[in-house]
This record gives sequence, structure tokens and C-alpha cells, in this order.
Amino acid sequence: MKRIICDSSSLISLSMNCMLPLITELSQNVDFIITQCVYDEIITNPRRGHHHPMGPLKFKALVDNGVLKIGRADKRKTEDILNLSNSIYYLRHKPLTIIQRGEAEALALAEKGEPLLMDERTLRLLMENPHDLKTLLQYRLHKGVSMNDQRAAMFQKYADGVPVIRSSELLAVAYEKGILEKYFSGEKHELLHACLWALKLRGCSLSSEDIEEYMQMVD
Amino acid sequence: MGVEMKTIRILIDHSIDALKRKDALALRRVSADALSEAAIEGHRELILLALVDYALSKILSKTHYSNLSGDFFTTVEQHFRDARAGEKDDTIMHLEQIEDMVIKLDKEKGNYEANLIEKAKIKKASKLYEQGFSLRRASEMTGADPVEVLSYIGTSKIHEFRGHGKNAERLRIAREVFK
Repeated sequence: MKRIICDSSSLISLSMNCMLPLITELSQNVDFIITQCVYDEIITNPRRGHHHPMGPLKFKALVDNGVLKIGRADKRKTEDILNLSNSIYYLRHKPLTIIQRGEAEALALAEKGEPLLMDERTLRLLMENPHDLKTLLQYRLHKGVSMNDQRAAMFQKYADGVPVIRSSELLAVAYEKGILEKYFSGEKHELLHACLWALKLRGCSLSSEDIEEYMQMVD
Repeated sequence: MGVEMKTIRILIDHSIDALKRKDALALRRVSADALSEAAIEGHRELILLALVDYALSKILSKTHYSNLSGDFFTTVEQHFRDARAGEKDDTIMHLEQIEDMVIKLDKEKGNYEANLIEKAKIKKASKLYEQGFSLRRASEMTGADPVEVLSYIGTSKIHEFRGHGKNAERLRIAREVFK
């Protein structure tokens, strides 16, 4: 069975928009895998708070029903990825810690060819184009940021062959398969547009131009 | 004295100055500076300073706090002075005292479920994410709830960064995985 490794950012975006049933539907042929770290982020930790009490209950049901499966990432590989990621960019000769263990664990769990489902932007940029991330850091921090190309290349060996998709792509596929219409009612075009905007407004790193691009690309 | 403590003391001096002048905008500037330093250095006292300065700026600018007694600000100022005078652990302790004071005040007089410190955490985490740090990193540094941070950043355009678009490729991969 094919696998897709899920980050909490995408799962949260989908949950906040009542789109978790899309995962249930799509899990018929693909295993949705989460790491223990993600499990703690979406279930264990939020249960201690009181702001979003329904979220962890929804996710726990998906785990209990076998829709979300827990995978174990190799510890050494996780440490390597974490150490490399956090020693690529430098400011004032100090390495910038840009990701945490959770992101590293997700990437460590993914085998070549297995996509990462991730809405948050930083690891995606690091994997797809680390120079873009350097540009962003420099622009937003208003300070000179240097990049260790050697460590970036070493990190890239882990990232190569692991594509990143977002909840928007999941949504687009669900739309093309007619799954969206089972849960939301509306004219097709309007439905897709509304759902993409809903994901964006809940933190999926989509720009308004991305949304317009999707509206053209999707069948 | 380490470079970091010197920076913190300078920032605390600016906070005291802004507080004495009841200058909300100045407090927000110090908060931004503290966060900027925290992004590089990662010290808890810098994060705390960023949070309390932001929360204090909100207290100064909201009408429902306008009849606050002077004792509140006097006590806050004293904690700032004690934070400045102490070493790292003392600094953290006194900044945490200010944090507790804000939370207590907000519980008595605030209008929303989320208190000012929680809102400050979300705001500052969002800023770190905007700067290029991961959602997890930003949330853990500030103690913010990642769900709240995601909701906040979703409504802001400043987090948009298209870089080199790969949307068509991503969609192709998704179609391939789920065919």
C-alpha cells in the first residue's frame, strides 16, 4: 500500500475546515502515516488545553479507526536531519534553529517516493529550494543571513525523492474524484474555490495566486 | 557580562522608559526588537520580554483598561528594574511575575476567553513564522498553540511567499499517489 506521511499543519488545516472525512475517503488506497510527535501535537497536547477541545477527539477517532496510522522514524536519521537543517543558515556567525524535531521526524519517516503532506512553509522551502528560504529569512529578519552550502547539500540527500504536497493538493484530488460533493453542497467551481480559500484562511501556505492557478489546473 | 545580558538590559531600559511615558507604540517596538534578538539567540528572557511588552502595549491602548490604578504600572516597573539588576534566572523570574500580573489583570477585566499573554504568544509566533522559522519552532519558542497560530497566519497576506512555484508538479504527484 502506498503511504503519505502527514505533518500536523495539514491535518489541523483540514480539521478546522471539517474536511477530515476527505482523509477517510482517500485512505481506502493509501496509508496516512503520522509520527509519534505529530500524534502528541494533534491529540495528547491539545487535550490538556481548552481552546480546541474537539480537534483531538476527531483525530483520536481517525487513529482508533485505522485511518491515521502511527509510524516510527529512525532516531539517528531524525537527529541527522535535525542537526543539518539547523546548521544551514547563519546570522552573526550563529546557526539559526529553524525547525524542530517534529519536522525532522516526518522527513526521516518518508522513504523515497513517499510524499510529505505538509502545509507549513519552512521545511517545504528548505527541501524544495533552500536559497528561497535564505532569501525569505534575510528579507524578513532585515539582516544578512549566510548559508552553508555543504550542509545544505548533505541535507538535500535526505530530501531528494521526497515530494511535499499540501492539503490543497489533497483537496484538489478529492474534488476530481467527486468526494468533495459528498460532504459539501454547491456548484462545482464555487465549491472548489471556497474550499481552497478555507484552507488558506486556516494556515495552508497558499497565496491567492496559487488558488487561481489551481482553479485553472483542476479538472 | 555576556553580550546577551547586555542586550537584554538595554531592552529592559527601553521598556521602562516606554512604560513611564505610557507609550504603547514604543513598547511594541521594544517587543519587536526583543523578538528579533530571540530569533537569533533563542533565550527565554528575550521571548518573555517580547511577550510582556506586547501585552503591556495592549493594556495601554485599550479603553477598558484606562482606569487602571497606578499601582499596577508601578509594580510592573519595579519588576522590570529587578529583572534588569539580576542575573539570568532572576531576570526570567521577574519577567514571569509581570506575565502573571497581566494574566491576572486580564482575568478580572478582559473581554475575551484568550488572555493578553496568549494573544501575545500567537502574535509573536506568527511573526517568527513570517520570518522563516517553522510553525513548530515558532510555537515552541513562544509557547503559542499551533492551531491558533495557523488560524492567525491564514488571515494574513504577509506570510505569503510563492518562491519558485511547483503547484503543477505537486498536483501531478498527488494525482499519481491517489490514482
